[in-house]
Amino acid sequence: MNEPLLLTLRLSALTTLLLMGVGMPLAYWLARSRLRLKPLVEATVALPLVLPPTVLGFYLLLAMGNHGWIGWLWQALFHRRLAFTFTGLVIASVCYSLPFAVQPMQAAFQGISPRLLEAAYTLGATPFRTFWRVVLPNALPGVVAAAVLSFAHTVGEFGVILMVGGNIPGETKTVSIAIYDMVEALEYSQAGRLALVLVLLAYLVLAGFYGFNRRVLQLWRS
Amino acid sequence: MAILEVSIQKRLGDLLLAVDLAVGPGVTAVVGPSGSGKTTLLRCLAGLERPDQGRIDRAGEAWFDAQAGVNRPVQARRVGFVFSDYALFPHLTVRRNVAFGARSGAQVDAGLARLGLEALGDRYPRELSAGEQQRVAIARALATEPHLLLMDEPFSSLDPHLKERLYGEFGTLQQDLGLPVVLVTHDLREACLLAAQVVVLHAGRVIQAGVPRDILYRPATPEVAYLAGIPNVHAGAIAPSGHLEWGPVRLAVAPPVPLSGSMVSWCIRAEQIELADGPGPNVVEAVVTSRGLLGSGYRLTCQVAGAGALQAILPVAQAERSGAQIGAALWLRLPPEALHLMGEWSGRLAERGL
Repeated sequence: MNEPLLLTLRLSALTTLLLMGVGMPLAYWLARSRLRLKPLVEATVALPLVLPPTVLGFYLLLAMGNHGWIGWLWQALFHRRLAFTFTGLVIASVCYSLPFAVQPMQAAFQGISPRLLEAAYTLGATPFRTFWRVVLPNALPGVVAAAVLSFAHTVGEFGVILMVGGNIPGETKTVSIAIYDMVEALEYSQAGRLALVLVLLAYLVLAGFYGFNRRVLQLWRS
Repeated sequence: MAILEVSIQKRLGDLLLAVDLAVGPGVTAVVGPSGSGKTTLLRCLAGLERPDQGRIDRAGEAWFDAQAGVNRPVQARRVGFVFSDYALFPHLTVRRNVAFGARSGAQVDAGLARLGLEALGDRYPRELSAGEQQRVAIARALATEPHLLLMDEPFSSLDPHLKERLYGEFGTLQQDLGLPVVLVTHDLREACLLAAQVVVLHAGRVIQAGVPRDILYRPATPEVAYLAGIPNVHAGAIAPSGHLEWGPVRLAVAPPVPLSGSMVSWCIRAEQIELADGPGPNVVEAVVTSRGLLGSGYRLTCQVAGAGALQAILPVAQAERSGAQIGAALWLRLPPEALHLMGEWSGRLAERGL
């Protein structure tokens, strides 16, 4: 019972970390760019919100299989398989939760007056220093929201994992898959216990987030 | 001696901003109605926007040169910029706002002290009044020891009483610093109060540049007269006798008098119109159509038969003694030296309903 839980937490933490790294520059670019192609990028990022996980999972499986381009590239670089591995799951989760990371951060970045950035520039700050010293602190509620939503969304992932990862204990068998497995095997009491753990975990993460938000918002507005 | 020499062009939608300007020591005010390009000009000086053509030189060093492909980035120009909404960093205290661009802690202390902000160092911007926020914005801009201070409508969001007080404080501060300042405002009165040199911008072009006295009393065009708050701007013609003809009214004007037959626009400030006892040279008969009390006197709007309207400000006691009620007829004298001629009548003010 511990193994799927630890796997889920590991997957969610790693996915969140990667999403922050990928999503933050992307969100900042989307918030500032006036490029005409921007709506196309925004639509691509939002696609996982509307597609059934099975559809997304299906394409990811094709891409990560030995004949898919991601799978082929991975094989060439690291001499390892990607489909039905933990690494493959992480990549799939990053794609699946991308909108949950990008959209709150983009909204937060857009809410920051360009005057603040310009003020920092006139005070001698480079764009990089301006981002860390002015943009990020003022977008903090949005950034935390992005991290929490990415984490929680990955914890609750099922369809994509089933498609891309299958059901390998210790490698791809996360809590949601394990629960499905137990129910299939008519192990209702075990399934119930694991489901309760997941509910509590998700609840605590969200409650913590809303508590943080209220305190931050109070601080910001007062 | 010019500190900044500017000659730039920039297209802004339908507007072409084309400005030649020399900024000297002291305060230079750039005045114009909204949409005249004044804020864009300021942003070009700071390096926040790039002109399409031209040059910006500071003390012989090129900040911008379209031909040579020079565009010194805003960070390297060392200009202080005070935004119209102040743009204070909301997540930083007053002290840390001022410290953001400062080179040393001593500078921060000196900057806070200079603007009387010592007691507010630990407050956040949202805890400050508008006047205090303005002082923090100025202190923050000065803490980088800039070559030049640029201010974009710094007084526009303040209430009138506070504005009057801060005008005084700003004058004192500017004297102490000896720093060249370029101030952008839509208020010509504010510009003339604060600046040594006033540049009037209209539709992207400089229509007059000079000392406040010339701008207020000798406006170059009807647009400047309008911005200068002169209510009496009219069209007229020069008669063979050298008089100004305003409808049936003939007025003597101070030399130099334009060629006979020229169409001119002319103006007179409301407070320069005098009350006369009866007919005489440069005296017109006018019927009062409205009356309002100002601190400086009664403001009377009068109709001159066959010519047009005149607005006069008369001392309270004098206006009451003369029985200047609505409907009353008055004799008003327009002194020749107060009549200012502005070249050919363009008709543009009439189109705008002024």
